[in-house]
Amino acid sequence: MNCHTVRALYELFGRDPLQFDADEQAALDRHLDACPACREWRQTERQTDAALVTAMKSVTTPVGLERRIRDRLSAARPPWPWRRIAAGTLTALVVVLAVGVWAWWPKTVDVQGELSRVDDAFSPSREAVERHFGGLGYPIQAPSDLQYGYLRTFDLASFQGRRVPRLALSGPSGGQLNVFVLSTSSFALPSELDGEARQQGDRHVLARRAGDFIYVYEWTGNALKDVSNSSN
Amino acid sequence: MRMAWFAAKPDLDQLVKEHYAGLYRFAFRLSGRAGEAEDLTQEAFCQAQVKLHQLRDAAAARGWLFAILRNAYLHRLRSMKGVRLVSLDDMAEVPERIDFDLPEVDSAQLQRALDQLPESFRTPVVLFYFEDFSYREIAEQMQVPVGTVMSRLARAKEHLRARLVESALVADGAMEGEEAS
Repeated sequence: MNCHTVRALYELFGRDPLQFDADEQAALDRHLDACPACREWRQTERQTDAALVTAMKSVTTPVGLERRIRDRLSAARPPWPWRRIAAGTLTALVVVLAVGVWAWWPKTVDVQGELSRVDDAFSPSREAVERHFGGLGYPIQAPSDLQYGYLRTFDLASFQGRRVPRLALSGPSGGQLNVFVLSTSSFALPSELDGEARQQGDRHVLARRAGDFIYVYEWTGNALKDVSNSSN
Repeated sequence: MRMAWFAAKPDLDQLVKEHYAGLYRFAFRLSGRAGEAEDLTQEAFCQAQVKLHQLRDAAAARGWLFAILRNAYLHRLRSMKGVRLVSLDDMAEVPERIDFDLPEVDSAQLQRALDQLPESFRTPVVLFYFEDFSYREIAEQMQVPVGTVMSRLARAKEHLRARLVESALVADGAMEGEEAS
């Protein structure tokens, strides 16, 4: 190993001894022991390194720098994710709580309304029938020629493919009467059939127009006569 | 053998406490100005705060913070117009070696000599002599081969020595002149 190689190696690796393996280090040491010029050169290098390190480190850190850094970090700190999560959770809890309170809060019983409904069910009247269908979106005028005391039930039933209000009555002699209430905006009644009763077996059918409605009566036995409050 | 299931999580407060002084000194030697050095230090920590989740291991924090500061400095250099930057070409020739013992180096003289170096030479010098980074750590941070780091260090050191010896000789000449008169 000559002077040039030793100095080049030292230049490149000398400041980081881990870069040398044991054989290289031994060869370098042997050359330095035998070469006064290289020893002097290395001494100069070390002095240079030491002078540079000392000068490099002579930087005074400003007083209060750490505090100013922390202040700036506080000012620039982004909102923590857990804060957003906590806010979302809190909102959800409030909503759940509100719904729960609403659901479980004791309700004021509408006694009068409930009585009216019971009364309508047990003592049906023309007005109760109209109120019921009106509430379902079928405003009607119920037939005025029936004794509503015989009304058994009233509901929506299918009539020629459409749902229409139906009243079911039972006569005192056992006959049954269904009355379908049709709107003239949906159905038309030929004038020759208006008020004309037809019979097929024991089943009778009669349709008549009254204002904006057509009433179709379908009965068995003497039901129509039994429940009608008219003379016919 | 026990497995290390997870590395220690970095804590920003702890990072500030441990590294603010080193980062400031690095920034000062890079920029040469106290005000800019402080601003760079603060900016580096602000960026670290935003990117902290990217740092998996607290043991790697030092190199990570220095890399952030260096990038912030380079960003400023690029955004500054009209600033004369020493090119790598200026460093193509290693200064002639002057066989002269380097006297005690004045910090301001050193800074002037550092300022004449391109950043790509200044950074390894500062990290190596000042912050005791290894060749490998500097190479990783600058994303260059270890051999490049070694070469730049040797050339940068020769440059510094030449400038500092020149300054010393000039100072000695001035003193002799004063004594003669």
